[in-house]
Amino acid sequence: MEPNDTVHASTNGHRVGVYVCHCGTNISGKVDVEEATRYAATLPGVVVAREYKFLCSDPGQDLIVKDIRDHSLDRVVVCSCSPRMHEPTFRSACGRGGLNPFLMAMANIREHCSWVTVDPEAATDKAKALIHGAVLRAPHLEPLERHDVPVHPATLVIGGGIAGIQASLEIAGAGRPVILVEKDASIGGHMARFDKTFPTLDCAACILTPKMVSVAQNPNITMMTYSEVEEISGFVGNFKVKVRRRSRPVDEDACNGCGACWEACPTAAVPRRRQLLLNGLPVASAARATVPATGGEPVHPYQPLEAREGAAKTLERLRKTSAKMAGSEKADGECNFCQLCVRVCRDVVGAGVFELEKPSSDRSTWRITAPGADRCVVCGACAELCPTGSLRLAPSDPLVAPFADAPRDTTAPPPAGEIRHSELLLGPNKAISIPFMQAVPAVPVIDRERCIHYLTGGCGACAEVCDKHAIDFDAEDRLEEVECGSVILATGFQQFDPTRLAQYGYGRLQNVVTALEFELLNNASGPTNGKILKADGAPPESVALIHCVGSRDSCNHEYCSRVCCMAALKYAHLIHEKTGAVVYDFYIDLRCFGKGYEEFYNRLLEEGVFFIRARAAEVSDFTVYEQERGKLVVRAEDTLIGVVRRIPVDMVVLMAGLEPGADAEQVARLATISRGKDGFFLEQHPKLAPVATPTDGVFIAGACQGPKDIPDTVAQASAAAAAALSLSVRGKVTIEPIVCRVNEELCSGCRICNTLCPYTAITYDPDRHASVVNDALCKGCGTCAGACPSGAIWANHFTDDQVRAEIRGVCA
Amino acid sequence: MSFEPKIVGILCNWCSYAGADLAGTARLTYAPNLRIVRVMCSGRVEPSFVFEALRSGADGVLIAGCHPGDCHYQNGNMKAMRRFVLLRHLLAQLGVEPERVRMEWVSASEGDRFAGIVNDMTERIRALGPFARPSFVGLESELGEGRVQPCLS
Repeated sequence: MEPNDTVHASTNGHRVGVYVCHCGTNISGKVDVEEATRYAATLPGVVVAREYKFLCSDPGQDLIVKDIRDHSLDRVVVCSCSPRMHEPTFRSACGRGGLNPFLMAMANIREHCSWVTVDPEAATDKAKALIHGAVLRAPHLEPLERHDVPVHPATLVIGGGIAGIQASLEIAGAGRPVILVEKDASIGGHMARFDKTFPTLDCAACILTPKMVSVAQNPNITMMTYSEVEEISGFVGNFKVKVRRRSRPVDEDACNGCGACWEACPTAAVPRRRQLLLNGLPVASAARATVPATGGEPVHPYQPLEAREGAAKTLERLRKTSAKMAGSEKADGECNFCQLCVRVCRDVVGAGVFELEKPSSDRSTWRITAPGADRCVVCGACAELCPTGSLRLAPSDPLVAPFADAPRDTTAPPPAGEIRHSELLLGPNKAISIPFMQAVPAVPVIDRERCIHYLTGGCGACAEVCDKHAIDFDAEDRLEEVECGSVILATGFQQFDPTRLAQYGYGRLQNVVTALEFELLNNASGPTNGKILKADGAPPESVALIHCVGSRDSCNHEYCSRVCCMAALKYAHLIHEKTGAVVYDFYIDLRCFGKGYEEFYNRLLEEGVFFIRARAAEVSDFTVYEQERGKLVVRAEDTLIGVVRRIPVDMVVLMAGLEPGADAEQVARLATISRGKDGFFLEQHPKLAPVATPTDGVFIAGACQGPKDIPDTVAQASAAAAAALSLSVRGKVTIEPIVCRVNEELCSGCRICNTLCPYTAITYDPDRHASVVNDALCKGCGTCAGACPSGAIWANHFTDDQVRAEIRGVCA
Repeated sequence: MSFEPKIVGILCNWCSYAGADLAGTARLTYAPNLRIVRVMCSGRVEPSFVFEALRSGADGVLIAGCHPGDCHYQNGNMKAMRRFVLLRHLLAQLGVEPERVRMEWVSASEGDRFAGIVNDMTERIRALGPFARPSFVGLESELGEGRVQPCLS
């Protein structure tokens, strides 16, 4: 197209150049680019209109640069893809041509036109309208100046799983400060609970623990565990973050993780829903002893008692007596009236539940009674000391039904000593404990719903034995403010809750466990020392692995959770190796996509795992055939042979999918980023900007962005660290000049804008009788401009004139 | 030839415009009647933009922003919604059918929802027929640009 050198009168002499991109055939496949260019040339002010195959290419950009010089263009209109894609590219081209970069307008004729329109003629018409809008907008554009602001060198990493750990170490290794915030008591995340990792069968603790320790030892990393981010304000390079340091209430600086506290603690943490049984009859159940969540007076009507002086010493004495007695012949399961329960409840717990009734000197008339049963907090201190076993703590919920053929007596408590797969702990079973023995920091946390002190005001044994005086029951949460230049979100995932799939019987049937429960069961430092055991404590003879629980399911999560296939293969191998059990693997498709994964699958095939291509339909304890008696039956249609099969097994592992954490929505709001349809954080570009988000300075890493295995998580965390480092190393960031400003001549001082501004960037200046905008706080949303009754506020780059001209253009 | 409505869409940069981009990248096809104008936040949308569109030949206006609670600017979308409720009353008094001006929440991941909204709105306005521009909508052009400012906040 030849340059049209007649300058239109109505554009105040502006000289506009229009460039229409073919984008290969992405645009020209639907839009008649020649026609659109001819049309553009007729629009007011257009002195040159050209088309080009790929405008974003070097020669394409040079075309614009050259035209700006040759035709003295003072406005440029680029008609191509979304400005969210290439606005920076064409702005810089304009800059090279000597034009202020903000004097360029874009028409999005690809994402909003050629790609979404069926009819070529309609697409061409629509493209013309969009071009018209941009051409009319162009003359109203104003030159704007970018400015640089310094970047705070620190990076905030939210989430201390493997992603957060990796990112922190990378950044700290480059000598920049990191603030690592973890809501759990220890860093390590899910990986710290694993025993082995696929496909190499590396010991997870062996590769993770050194990293956790280096985080703790690195002087550049400030670790804030048991803490949550409450607010993120500011902008790229200059974030201000409020962190709630929840009260453990153990002083992290003083505590040296010696473990004396949890050894002294007389309270059991699990079973969580429990009751206290005296000679097989319930005294009290945990449901009645609860603390109000907001603190304050416990609901339970105990007598207010002074903190027990010498609780630890008393306990030690009682424990010695108990140990001595337990070895003697007196301990035969019948109460021997030792009164340890009476003493511990009175002198340590302070609830005074028990009494010894002695109607006569004849021992056969004696009995322990519980007149204070309504004061019982079901702490388990008495049960721990009872040498005869006549007092014991038992689960109060009939949670897991025994097998169909076992006698079903729902009133009888489940047998003591059974393994409750849903309540496995890696740390000590105490009200004050650490989540697992390699915890970093090894500073314990008190479970306030279990701790006797918080329930009755008594005990305090942990504080008494602590040489460092680290425990202060009255310590409250602290709010800490930190500053940082960038934020990395590494908040991870949570496991899909399979109770939503009633057909698999999770929570209803014994020995149906989730993948993460199986990890704890299998963990060498776990409660079973890594032995794979059924609820009755015996190893299983056959195990079923059910894939895609909650994933690839239009009723739950449509996406594939990616890691479960490989994790199931890992379990199959470990079960086979540890117990010799027969393993049935119910899969839809086995997705072994990574390095060494397919080889691992082949190895499993040789190990003799039965792979059954089926989505399991049901897990039940309903016996049809004799060999199913006392077993769980998995019913599934084997799609390779076209037969519905019933397979009796001893244990079922549900490979529950990965889903966004329960607080993902809250975190997304804190950082003002979006979430995808599946609830995971949305990256800026799925291919080219996988760790960036639309909010500058906020990066994402790991499973919070989507299901991911450990290698991918670590790679992404390093990528996020590099992105954060490049900001911090550069030391300054260029801020878009898209802010609002007030014309003081027009401002009537009504102050409507002051209250509307979400950033309190506008204040009223009584001296000038006008509102003023603080540029550093304003983010340019334009809400004030939209509301100003006098039209006194300009939203830079989106002024009334610009938007209205564009609207007129697209309507023409 | 049947009546093809002209609809102006004023979309926020962070959610709805990105959602419309996603509809494109996912190659979801929808009615070609919508012309999109980008603003940074739906809170930027002045009632006068809607009047400008109706006056300039549009048969309908779509305002789209982030879902409540997801606003990139904390709550600009809620302010837009407050303003929109008043605007709808005003438009009704001016005799503009309420279906012509519509406000929707579209997130950056809802390309399919966006396409559905455009199709639905196009159908509804096609059924309504062309917008009969009352003369007073052009009041501003008689009084001069910028003289009429709807006082809505």
